[in-house]
Amino acid sequence: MLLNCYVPHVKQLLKPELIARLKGIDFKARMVVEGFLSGLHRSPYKGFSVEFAEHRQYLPGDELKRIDWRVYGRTERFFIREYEEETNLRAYLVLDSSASMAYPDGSYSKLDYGRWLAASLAYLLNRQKDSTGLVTFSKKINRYIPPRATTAHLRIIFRELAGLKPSGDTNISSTLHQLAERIRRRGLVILISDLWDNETAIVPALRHFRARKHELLVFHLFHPDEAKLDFRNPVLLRDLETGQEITVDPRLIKRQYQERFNRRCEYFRRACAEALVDYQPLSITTPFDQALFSYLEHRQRLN
Amino acid sequence: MHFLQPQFLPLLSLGLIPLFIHLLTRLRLRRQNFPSLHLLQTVHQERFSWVRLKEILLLLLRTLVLLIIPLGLSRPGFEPGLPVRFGAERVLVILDDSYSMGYGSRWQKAVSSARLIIQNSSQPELLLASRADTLFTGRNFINRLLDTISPSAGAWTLFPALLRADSLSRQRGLPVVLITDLQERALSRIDFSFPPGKLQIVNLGTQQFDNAGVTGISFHNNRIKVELFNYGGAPVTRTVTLKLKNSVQEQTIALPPRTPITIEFLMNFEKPGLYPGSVELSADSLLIDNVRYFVFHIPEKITVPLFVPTDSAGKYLYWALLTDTLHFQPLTLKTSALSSTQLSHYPVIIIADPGNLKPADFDRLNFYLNSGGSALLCVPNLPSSGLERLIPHQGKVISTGFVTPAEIDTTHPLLADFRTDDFKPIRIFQHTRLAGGRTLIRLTDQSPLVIELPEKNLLVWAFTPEPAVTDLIYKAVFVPLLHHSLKYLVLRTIRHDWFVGDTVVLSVRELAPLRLIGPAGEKTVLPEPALARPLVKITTTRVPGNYRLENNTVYAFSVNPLPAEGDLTPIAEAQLSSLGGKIISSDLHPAGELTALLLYLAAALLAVELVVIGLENYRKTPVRK
Repeated sequence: MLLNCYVPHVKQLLKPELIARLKGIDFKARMVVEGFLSGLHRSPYKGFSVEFAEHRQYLPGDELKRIDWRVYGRTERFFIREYEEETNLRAYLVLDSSASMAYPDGSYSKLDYGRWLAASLAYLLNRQKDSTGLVTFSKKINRYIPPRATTAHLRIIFRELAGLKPSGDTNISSTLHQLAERIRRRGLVILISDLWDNETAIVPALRHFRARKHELLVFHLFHPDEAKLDFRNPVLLRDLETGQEITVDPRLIKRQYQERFNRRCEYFRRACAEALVDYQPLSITTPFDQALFSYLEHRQRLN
Repeated sequence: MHFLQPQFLPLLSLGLIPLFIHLLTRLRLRRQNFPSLHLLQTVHQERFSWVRLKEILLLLLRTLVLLIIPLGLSRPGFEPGLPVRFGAERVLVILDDSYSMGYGSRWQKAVSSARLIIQNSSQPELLLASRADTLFTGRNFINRLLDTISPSAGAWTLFPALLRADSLSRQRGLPVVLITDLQERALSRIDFSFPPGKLQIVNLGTQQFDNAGVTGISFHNNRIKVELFNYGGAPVTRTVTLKLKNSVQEQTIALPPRTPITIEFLMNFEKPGLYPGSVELSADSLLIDNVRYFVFHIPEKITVPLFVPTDSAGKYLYWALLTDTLHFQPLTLKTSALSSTQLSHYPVIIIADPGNLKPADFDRLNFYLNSGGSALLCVPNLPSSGLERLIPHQGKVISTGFVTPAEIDTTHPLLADFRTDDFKPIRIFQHTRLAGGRTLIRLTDQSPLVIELPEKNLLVWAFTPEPAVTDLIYKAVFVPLLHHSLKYLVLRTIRHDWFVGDTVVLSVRELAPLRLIGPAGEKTVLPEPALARPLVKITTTRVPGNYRLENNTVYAFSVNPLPAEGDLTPIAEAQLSSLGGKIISSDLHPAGELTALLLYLAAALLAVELVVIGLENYRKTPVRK
């Protein structure tokens, strides 16, 4: 439904391969968000900030202080000035920076996609005057930036994202458990990760956030190669995290692998649905609007 | 292992191609980073065994196919008993091409063995048992020759071939390989031995065999006697079929092992003439002795000149001949008329008392007998009759009382229809003592009463048919004995039964060309002048069958293999060792036997590979819902 609101050229601005060509993460985030927002005919999310939204006719019961006297002077009618609602949402962008996120070696990796997505979301949140924090992790929490709503804070987040290097193996479950304990005030946790860890351990960690009354949005990043194992000849595959190597003929095991991968995604989808967690599998070739829509839909539900 | 086309063997290296490709793929394996092997390892472990198995299977199949195809093209064959290594050597092969080699698959094995040995020799030479005078050389020529020859006549003994091979072996130091069935008959007369180790024998004969054959046919008084012999070690039942002109008669008979059996067919020959026919035995493994051809000659009325000193002396003979005027016409002549009579007009003559002959008469008689005539002589009991030149005899024997016939030779065709008892009542009061020839009837005093001189076509009685000499003239056996004797003499002068490979010699009336019609076709033959009558010599008698020779007169004869060819009994080892030969094998596999097998195997392997690949593709294809 929302996709119908786009004009064609806007889609081009949201393609990751195009964004990858731009320099500066702040510029990239701005391009993504502006491109995304300008593509919408009408924002359904008004009332979130203190910025003016529109006028409406005064009705009995409205506060008198909200009457726009200038409009009364021009029109001799009472109109109420409506502002976009300002909230005190605390959002945590939790980005996986383990070595597995460095895949692929080409133009941009899962980590690049993740950092751009995180930057875009931070930009969007900041624009809406929400407090945004950043957590990066691999085996443990590498960096914790508490949420703030200032522009200067946004620059700190951007700088952190820009300088992020993939390293170490992943221990998502323990990291999330750790983080769930650390965040005291309820907020929105946006997890951006390839979820390469034991799936049965990840789901309880996600439930942990829910138990602490946090809202949770999970972006499960993957490259098409991971989903389809689309190599033509036998290859020697090396695990980016453990360095372990294995020789496989993808033609022989592709079908079984694809089934397993889809089954894993389906497991996450069901488990997240049961825990009231928004789960969004996201190929890194997917335009950013899909992720942003997910966020906005989730944000709307919070209101 | 032996290879007939070794030039294909280098192609075996093609079998390394799949291995090279496999190793090359391994070496050129692309390294690829992957986010996590967590999921992959699970799948890979599940599929590993099958994938690995399939990889190994396909590698093996492809390698095998590429090995088997050039191996098959190189025409391999096993030769467990290949006698000597002929890689760069000369070898003399003697191939026994006698009829007995046609038993079962002996001939095919013999030819394959010969080819195998020849193929492995740099300078092979070949001697055929049937043509020992010709030495065949050159591998290609010998191979072409082997395509055309088959078991034939003229090889009833291996003696000539072995003798020549022994000579060649001693002169040039050649190893000799004899390919034969070691038939006892073919090796029985060999009295020399090869140098040690020079003669090696590929034995294709067997101790156990089954073969029965027709060994002889004779005609006696409207009865055709067929002699059969079962050479095998087990009793067999065979159907014997007589074919004569348009009539066919059959008899089924049980043949005990190694025992001669004679059966009879009744046949009426009303008209004089030539009767060609055959006797066939229901088939067994050796076909050649299952058929025997014959030609019977029923002569026209025989005019018999009866030379007697006085009319009374020959009257009993005359009366005896008059009893069968259908076949005989007696003509009484004085003995003195012998010099003026054209004897060659008569196939047989009777001289009742040759003691009165002059020396010139004996010369005429000799000439007549040498020209194809025949005679029955009744020798007088004179101490010196001048007959010494024809038949040795000793004076007059007068026994006390009389003597009687003691034994008669019933195996002789003349006496085959008589019994000894028929002659027992006969009393001989006086006789002469004969010597030489074959005794047909012997008296109680051991003197011969009737003898035969086959080389002179002569039957001799040791008495004259007079009442003072014997009472035979009054006995019932006298007339048939006389008739049989004359018919025998007339018929045996024309030989109708010859063996394959013989030079057939026939006496003909004219020097004009004759047309020879035989089983192998037609040809024209020319008679040669001879002392008495022109002779036709026919050497092309390698094919058994009935032959006709005709111009104004028709002549006929039959050609058969030697009956002994059917006796497949192998020679005893003790006899063989005296030849200096060593049996090296009975199982030389013909080359190329493995070729078909290997090519079939390659095709099967390819099919298996296609199935494996097809199965994998089928498993890969998603199911459409």
